[in-house]
Amino acid sequence: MTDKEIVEEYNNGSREKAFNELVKTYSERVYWLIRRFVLSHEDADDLVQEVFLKVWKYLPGFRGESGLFTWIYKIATNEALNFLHRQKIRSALQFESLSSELERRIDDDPYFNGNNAVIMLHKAIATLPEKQKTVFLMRYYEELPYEEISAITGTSVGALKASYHIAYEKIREHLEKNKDWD
Amino acid sequence: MGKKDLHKNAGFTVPEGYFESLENRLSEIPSREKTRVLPLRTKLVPYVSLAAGFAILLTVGNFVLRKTTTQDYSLSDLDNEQIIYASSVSMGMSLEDIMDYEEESADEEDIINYLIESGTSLNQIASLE
Repeated sequence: MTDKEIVEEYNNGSREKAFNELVKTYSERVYWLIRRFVLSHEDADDLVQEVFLKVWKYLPGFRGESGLFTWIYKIATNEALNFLHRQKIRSALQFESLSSELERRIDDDPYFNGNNAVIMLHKAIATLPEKQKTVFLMRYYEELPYEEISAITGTSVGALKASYHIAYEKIREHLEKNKDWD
Repeated sequence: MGKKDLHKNAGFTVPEGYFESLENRLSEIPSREKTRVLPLRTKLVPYVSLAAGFAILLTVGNFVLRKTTTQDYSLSDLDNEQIIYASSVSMGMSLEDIMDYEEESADEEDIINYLIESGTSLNQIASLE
């Protein structure tokens, strides 16, 4: 079912059916998007539910100005960034940095079994500031076009390209510094 | 940093059957949210209670106000005690002061003694009696 058909179904009164189609189409993608932001499976699981709760709640107000996909990704990104923001405050109160907290999560998460290279990459991404992290995750992993990322984040394409470039360089440097991984 | 080595979800795993269970849980959101929506009657209960309480307060207040303001007291209706109380209150005396004052109120003998000490003639005192 396409996004347009889902919206039509919803507007025709089959609200639950339309929502279930949305869940089928997007739940896994939303999970992975959020998981890459927050790293821990448990946190990602909680946040995915929050995202779809909001989707259900605000779907009546969805006017279709942006695509359904863009709209859901926007909610998911906001949820993930808000979560990281709360974590940042919590880490600051414990005199820790968010990146070291996220690194610890990679080490502690039972649902993480990457090799050293993968671990180093995720730890490098964890050190990126919010905007650079967002564009890097959406571009590198999701392979979204800049125009789509721009619609989700509300940032211009030019600024996104610059942020991606800086993020890429920072990650490369981080990996260079920690060459011991195989 | 090659993409071949660093697969999209590389490193991340999920429990077995996770996405099926996630889909099922998410599909329950509409029915779960429906049960959380309170019927109009239940929603109105606090407002109705508040309005009833307010109405009672208004009625009682109005009754008390009418009772206290429509009574037309004249000075002759009040006994000495009431006058003392009213004037004491208007002078800012506390209830304790008033009670002390009442206990210490002069009787007839005290008044006569006072008049004698102040040089009032006995004839004048007798005329007062």
